[in-house]
Amino acid sequence: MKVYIVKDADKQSAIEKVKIAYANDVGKELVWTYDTQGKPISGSCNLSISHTSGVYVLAVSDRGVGVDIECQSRHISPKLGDIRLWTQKEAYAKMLGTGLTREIVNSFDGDDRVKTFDVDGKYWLSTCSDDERVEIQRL
Amino acid sequence: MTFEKLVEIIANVMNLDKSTLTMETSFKDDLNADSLDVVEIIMEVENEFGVEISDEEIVNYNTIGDVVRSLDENI
Repeated sequence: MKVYIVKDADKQSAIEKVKIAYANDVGKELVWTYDTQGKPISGSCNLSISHTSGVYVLAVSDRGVGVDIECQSRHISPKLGDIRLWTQKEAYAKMLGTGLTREIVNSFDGDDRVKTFDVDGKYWLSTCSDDERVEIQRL
Repeated sequence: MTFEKLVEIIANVMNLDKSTLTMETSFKDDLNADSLDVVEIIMEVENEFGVEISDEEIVNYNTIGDVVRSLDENI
């Protein structure tokens, strides 16, 4: 999967940067729309998007994919674990396409398809996919 | 009563001034709440009100009013 990370840009600019980078990498145009749940859908590939203050992330793969990014310093109720684990749950839920069910929130305990990265010592980024290759690009 | 309790919870979770919250306030559009915010709010609501809210119901909670009406129906 390709993961594009754009920092310090508004959403529109981030999207433009990603599209240009993708076209450069793959030689095709990346086009997507959103379903009623806000999930990005594309005819030609699978996508997942996440953004939090200051950063926008888009992951694309021909397998199902989920991605989530959060600030490491973000407060989270201790009943929910820690924010790193939270990004894993979100990425997992997004890959499944179910959204965060109560079951995932309460019982998710890790999954081999989940990878977590520390971005700049500031963010946790988790990806979840059967696609084992993760190519991260900073734009 | 329900409304007051609920905005207290929301203001707490999201670090907001509760006087800015109304029945029409949309979690996503007005408060920029993401899934973590929603899960934390629901958790506190379940705790405070002694109810259990299903995943199906949560999907329909767009505004504070939606939650208030749902809680009032259950009590």
